[in-house]
Amino acid sequence: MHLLQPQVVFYIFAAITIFSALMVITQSNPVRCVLFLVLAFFASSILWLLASAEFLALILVLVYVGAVMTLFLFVVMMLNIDIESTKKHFLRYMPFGLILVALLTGILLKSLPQGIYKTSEALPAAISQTENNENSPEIVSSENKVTLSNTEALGMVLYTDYVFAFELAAVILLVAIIAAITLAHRQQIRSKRQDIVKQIMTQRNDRVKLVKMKSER
Amino acid sequence: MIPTTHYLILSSILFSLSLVGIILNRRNIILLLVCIELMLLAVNTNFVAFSHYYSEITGQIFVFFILTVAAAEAAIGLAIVMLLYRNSGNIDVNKMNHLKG
Amino acid sequence: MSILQCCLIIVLAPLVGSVIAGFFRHQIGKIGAHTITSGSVGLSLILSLYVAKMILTGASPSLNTNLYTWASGGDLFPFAFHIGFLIDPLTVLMMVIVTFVSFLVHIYTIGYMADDPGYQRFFSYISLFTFMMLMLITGNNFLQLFFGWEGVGLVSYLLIGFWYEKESAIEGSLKAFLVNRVGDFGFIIGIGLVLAYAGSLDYAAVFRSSSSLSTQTIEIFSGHSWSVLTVICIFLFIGAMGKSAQVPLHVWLPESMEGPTPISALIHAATMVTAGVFMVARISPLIELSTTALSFVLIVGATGALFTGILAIVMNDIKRVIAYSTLSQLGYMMVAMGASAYSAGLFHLTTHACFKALLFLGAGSVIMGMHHEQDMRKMGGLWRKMPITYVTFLIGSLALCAIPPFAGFYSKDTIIEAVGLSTTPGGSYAYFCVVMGAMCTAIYSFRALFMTFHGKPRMDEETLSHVHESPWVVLFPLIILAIASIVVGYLLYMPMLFDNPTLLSSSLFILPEHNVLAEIAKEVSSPWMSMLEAPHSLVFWLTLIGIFIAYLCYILIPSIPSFIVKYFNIIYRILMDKYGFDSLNDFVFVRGTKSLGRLFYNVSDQKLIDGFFVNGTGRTVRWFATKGRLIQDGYLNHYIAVMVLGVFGFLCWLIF
Repeated sequence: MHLLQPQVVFYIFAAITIFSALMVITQSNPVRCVLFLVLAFFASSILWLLASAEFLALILVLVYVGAVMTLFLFVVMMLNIDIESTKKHFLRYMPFGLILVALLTGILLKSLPQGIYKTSEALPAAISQTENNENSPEIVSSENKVTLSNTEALGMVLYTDYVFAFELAAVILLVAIIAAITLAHRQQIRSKRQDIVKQIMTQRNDRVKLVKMKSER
Repeated sequence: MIPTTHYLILSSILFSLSLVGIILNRRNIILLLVCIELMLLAVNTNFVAFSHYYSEITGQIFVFFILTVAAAEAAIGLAIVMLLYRNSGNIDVNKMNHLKG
Repeated sequence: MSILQCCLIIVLAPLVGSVIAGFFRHQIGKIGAHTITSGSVGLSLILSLYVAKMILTGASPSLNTNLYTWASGGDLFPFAFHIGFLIDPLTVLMMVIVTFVSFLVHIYTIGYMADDPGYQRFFSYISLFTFMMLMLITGNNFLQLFFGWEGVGLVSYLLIGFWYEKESAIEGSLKAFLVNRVGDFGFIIGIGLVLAYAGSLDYAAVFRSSSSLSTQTIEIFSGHSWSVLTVICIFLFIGAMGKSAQVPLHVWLPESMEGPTPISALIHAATMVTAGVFMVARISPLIELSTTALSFVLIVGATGALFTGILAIVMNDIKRVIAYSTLSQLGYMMVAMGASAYSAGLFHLTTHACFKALLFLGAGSVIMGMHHEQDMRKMGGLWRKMPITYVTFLIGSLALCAIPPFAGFYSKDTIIEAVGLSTTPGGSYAYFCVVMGAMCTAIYSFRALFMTFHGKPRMDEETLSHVHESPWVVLFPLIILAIASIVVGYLLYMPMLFDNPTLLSSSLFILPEHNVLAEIAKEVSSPWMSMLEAPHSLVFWLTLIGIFIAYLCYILIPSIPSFIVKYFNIIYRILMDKYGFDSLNDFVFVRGTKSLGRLFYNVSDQKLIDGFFVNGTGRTVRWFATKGRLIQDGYLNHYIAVMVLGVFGFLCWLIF
């Protein structure tokens, strides 16, 4: 039973993932689409845990679902989407879709070499991860190995070998912020700026107006 | 524990489903973006599985960055959809044939 | 000075005169133009006479030098082309004739073209013509001959179309040039064959190899081999047919009468048309060895002699009559060539130059007096008003009809005798033609004389009162030529034809079995004797009968011509149509070419190339683009689908 648990968990959550993916593409209500996507993310997060990628699984839930999917939901609910006209087309195209799925999956699977990946054990010289504790990194020193948690392992590599890519990712995010703001901004940003053309093209009449007034006395 | 092939099969099924979702999309743009997210999920699963098999942390690093970029892209994509909605009043895919030759 | 220096001056002086009169015509004016050109041709004449005296009396040997090499090829084309002079008796004879007639025509033109706006241009052209003709005759290789050949054709075109605002003049000049071209086409094939088979274009080299050439054969159509010499000579003669207006390439000469009369005299009587005769004499070493070519020449010449002579009887324009007379006499010259009596032919060329030029210039004088009226039916009774013209014209006509003791008698009778004795195939046909032709000559020349100068004046009063004798500038050449027509024949008879050796024998090559003149020489002792023997010949009496017929029809009973026309209408119409040559040419060549051109334009160019290839390509591309445009429908998911299909296909290809 103990040995079967990972398998069972895997199959259940895999099934949930596939089911929710299917629902994503077949639902007519876009809100439901997004919600099912969220479900898919949750289920695959469990799957990632099974593959001992704990940090990523949690990040998936916290950041991806928590932020990005929430953003999706905001936008979907904000836009006024017409649900009615979309239902009837789907049934006509479903067989085509199923065939396409089968074909694509088949082709992707065909490319797998036979029997290479059958072994389930990790290759030797792997880091055994038994701790799921991400908050307190515990360094257990064995004879000549340092076992790190997944987070620590990621951190060790990320800021040393891949620091350049890390910085680039930061820049990408910055660019995304600027782009999103620029795109969605409604009115002009009220900043004091010079318009050289207007300055040069002014006429005297725009600036000075002589008025004759009677003296007050 | 779990054979890597299972992960790969799952990943390919998810990928194909999302492709189908894109191709047979007759509804709205949101579905397009959602399916892209699904595709990215499939790819990430693939990376994680291989990372687990080879005991290399590199695969997970890559997933990290994919997540980053996916977030950025989702943000910008949604901004564009917002603009689209603002300018044409709906986000029906059938009405978006301005690239027609 | 040496012969070579004289030669250079003779040839180049007219060119210099022509260039000055042509390019500086405004600076030197009319008087300057005619002085310079006439002076330069006069200089050429004097020097020609000097050179002739040197060469013909044997004081200097014949000259054959190359001045410089014009072009030479390398390994692939191992031939060299030179510019050089060959001065032998034949050349000097031609030189004297050319410069003499040209000089007289220059003098004549001063009077004839006095009030023409293109005065200087005309002088420039006739000097240029003299230069070209001199180049033709002094060359020592076929290339120079061809240069002069083409050059005289060009100047002939320029001169016939001199009054280029006249539509008929343009047509006439084009016709002359194009028909000449047809002949030149054959000529150049002949020259090419000479180059190919003899390895050189120099006369000396070619004639040296003539015996080896006579044994070679050439296959034009597979299975039939012809002797190379025959083929060469026939092609060269085709060139002569074009230039010397033999049948059927004679059609251009009547139309060339559109040009001013001086050039009709110069070019189409004395010089250019005789270039072909000169050329045949030049290639006598080659043509003597080919009996086929000789009989071809004989038959063509004879046909021309008779049939064009008949045509002259029905012509009404005075210049046309003389033109057809020229055609007929050219036929006589070619007959002489064909019968291997080259000296006789050249002698006739000399005398013909004199009296034909005289006739043309006389006709010009008449036309001037009649204020450019050329139709003989409107003339008559002019002998009182233009006596000197009348006398010279009469002398010319008598010379033409071969009445002794005028020049034509000596040359033409010799030709007829030579043809009678000739053994070349076709000789009897040729004999018949030339004898009948003699009678026709008499008829038409005296018809022209009577219609123009005798009888009652048929013009209106006003023109009649204006008719006057031409100025002395015009009459002077006429008188000179008349004197020449009388004495040249007498003087040159024995030296040229029957002395042993004859004047030209060093230039000509005659096979002993063909040498009819030697046969005749056994019986001839002096010109005076030949003249007294004349009443014994059939031709003499036929000529007198012809004169009498003309007298009958046009003076005594003027109604006979119209009677003949009425009752022999078919023959009259055929003759008026000039045997249908012009109609045939028009129908087959002109219209044929035009419709072929139209066919090419409409079907090939417009429909095929423009429509199918050019526009069709555009249309096809546009069709594909129209169909292809439908793929871009603007729907993103369609694009993605296509992209996925592409990736799918690529993956299939990779995996399988």
